[in-house]
Amino acid sequence: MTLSQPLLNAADDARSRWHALIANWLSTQSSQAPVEAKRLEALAAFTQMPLPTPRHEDWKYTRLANLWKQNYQWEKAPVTSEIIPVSGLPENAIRLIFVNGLFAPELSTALNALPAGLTINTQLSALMPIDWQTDDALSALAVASVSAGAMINIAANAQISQPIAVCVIGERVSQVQSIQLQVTVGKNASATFIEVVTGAEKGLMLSQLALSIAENAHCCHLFWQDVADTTYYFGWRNATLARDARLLQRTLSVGGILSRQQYTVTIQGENAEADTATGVVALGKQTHDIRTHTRHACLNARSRQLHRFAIGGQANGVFHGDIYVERGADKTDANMATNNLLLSPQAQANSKPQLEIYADDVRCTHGVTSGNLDEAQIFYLRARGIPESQARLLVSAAFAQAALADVPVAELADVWHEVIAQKLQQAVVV
Amino acid sequence: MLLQVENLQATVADKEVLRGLTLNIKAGEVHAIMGPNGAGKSSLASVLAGREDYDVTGGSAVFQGEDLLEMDPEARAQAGLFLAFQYPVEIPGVSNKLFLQTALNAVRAAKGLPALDMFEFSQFVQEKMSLLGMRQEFLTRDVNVGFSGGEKKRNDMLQMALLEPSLCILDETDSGLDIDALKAVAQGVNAMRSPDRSFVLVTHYQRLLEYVAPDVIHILYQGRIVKSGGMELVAQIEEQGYDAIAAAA
Repeated sequence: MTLSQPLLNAADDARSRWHALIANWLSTQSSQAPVEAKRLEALAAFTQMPLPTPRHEDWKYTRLANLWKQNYQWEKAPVTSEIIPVSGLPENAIRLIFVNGLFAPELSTALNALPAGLTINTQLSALMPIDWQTDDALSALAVASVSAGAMINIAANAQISQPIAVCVIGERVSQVQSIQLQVTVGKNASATFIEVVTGAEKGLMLSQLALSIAENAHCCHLFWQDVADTTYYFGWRNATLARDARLLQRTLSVGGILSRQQYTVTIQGENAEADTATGVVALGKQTHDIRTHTRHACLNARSRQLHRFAIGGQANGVFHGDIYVERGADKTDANMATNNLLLSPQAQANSKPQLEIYADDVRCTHGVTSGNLDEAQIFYLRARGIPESQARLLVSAAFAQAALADVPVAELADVWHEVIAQKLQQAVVV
Repeated sequence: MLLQVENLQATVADKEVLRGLTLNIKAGEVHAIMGPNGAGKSSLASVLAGREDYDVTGGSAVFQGEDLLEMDPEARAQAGLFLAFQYPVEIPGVSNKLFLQTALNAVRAAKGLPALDMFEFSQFVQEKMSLLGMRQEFLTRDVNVGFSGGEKKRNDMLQMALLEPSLCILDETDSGLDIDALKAVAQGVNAMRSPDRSFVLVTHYQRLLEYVAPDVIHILYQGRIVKSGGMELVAQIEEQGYDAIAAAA
């Protein structure tokens, strides 16, 4: 008790400091219903909800003690310097650029000249706010802090061939940025949707996404988390799939001092399919926490997950995934694989897969592996003249890259492969 | 002398595996090393290639005038020593093409040669592959993943052809191969024989020697070479067995 007491105080102190700052910031904002009301409600909820502590099962390995010591600011500042374009986006991508928590129309594609069937609204007043999760105070903080967002709608039958890229860029130190995205893919439609979060030293970056995929629609969602190594990142991404819908979701997570991402996939229609894969590179003192909740609510649907963590330095890779099969969701075919590669003696992996099955006749599997680099592979490469550090880099990068081998946007796939190799370079020095 | 091994002693996991082995190889020679299970055949190949779980406890090995035992495995490969593995290793996620190009350029860099770009490399590897009768898909597959035993050995032969080493050690590369794969290995070796390249064929069977004629045959027994000679030794092994030859030596 004596040990955890100072932590609790730090958290409560942070909460009251942040509450005052958010309230102050909100008082300067012009009326933007319905977001405005939702932010105030969320702020009130944030002050009431229990804050995460390591004693809570969900926060045992993801420690927030240092988060509470941070000084953040909620006031937004317009773009002050040249913004470095995000790499890996195809030439023809439709770009929505957010800088310092605000939509930057001058850096974005003109929203009045979009392909037929695609509508995008970035007016804050038009946003249908996403709710917070009642068991997660940080999600209430995210809702209370929302300063920008977008409603992206793909009409029924529209096949949008240009990827839609949302880039959230921070250029100011110690800033809070909270962005909400609502994406609707209409019946029989298809679209590729890229999200990039990058930059900002010592910041707090929060993202919420609600993705709805209608009957027989196909959506590819690619997310790249590459914030500064001093920044905290929290993301909540929910997807619902109707009958015959397809979701292909790929995530590369490399940035942040602490990053926690929650993915909820709800399969509401028969014969839908969700295919999710994550590549994580955790180095130095980083914590990367990936949480998935996959809910099968109907017959004959499939979900597949692959999560690969390459962990070096004193970093910590945390995974919690549960597959929930509701009563009646027979013929569900769900599997979840998590592989951890530990690149140093201090690297840690904490993986917890879970199945809850209330239906008959289902096929659900999960598996976790953790291991070091295979020295036989390293020797084989060295015996061909490849220097040891390069051999270690080849094998460890291949491990993480394999989770993202089928990213359908070639430009982004190439950049992701390079980013993985670049990051791992520091982990394989011999 | 290309390789001079003097009184080499080595242990693995505190077990003595080489107990004073002496072996001299001149440029252009093909040596076969035969012996029963546990004689130290694979240990010799491993020690020469620099496998780190082996401890050299005595003796010396000089390769092209340099102390081989002081060199890292990659430095040995860069200097021109090649080990064809008994069990080539699978490396998921790394394409064979990337592997081969990386290896070739590492060896070229050590020789002070410029790296080959993708185009130059492709041309070079195509030449070597057609010499070995290998299919294009070999390049796009992951290193040895899902390869049959024969394909793995062919892949090792391709690496040997690309890196153009001066000393090739084949560690029981013929074990477990069907006749076609065995012929492919022999073809790889014969195609590469030259006055400035030597081979050490470590083998349990005489089969490979029907296709690759060695200059010298050595019998390795309990960690030492107990007898050396020509092809007549093969018949002698057939007739008398290793124990009798070792006892008489």
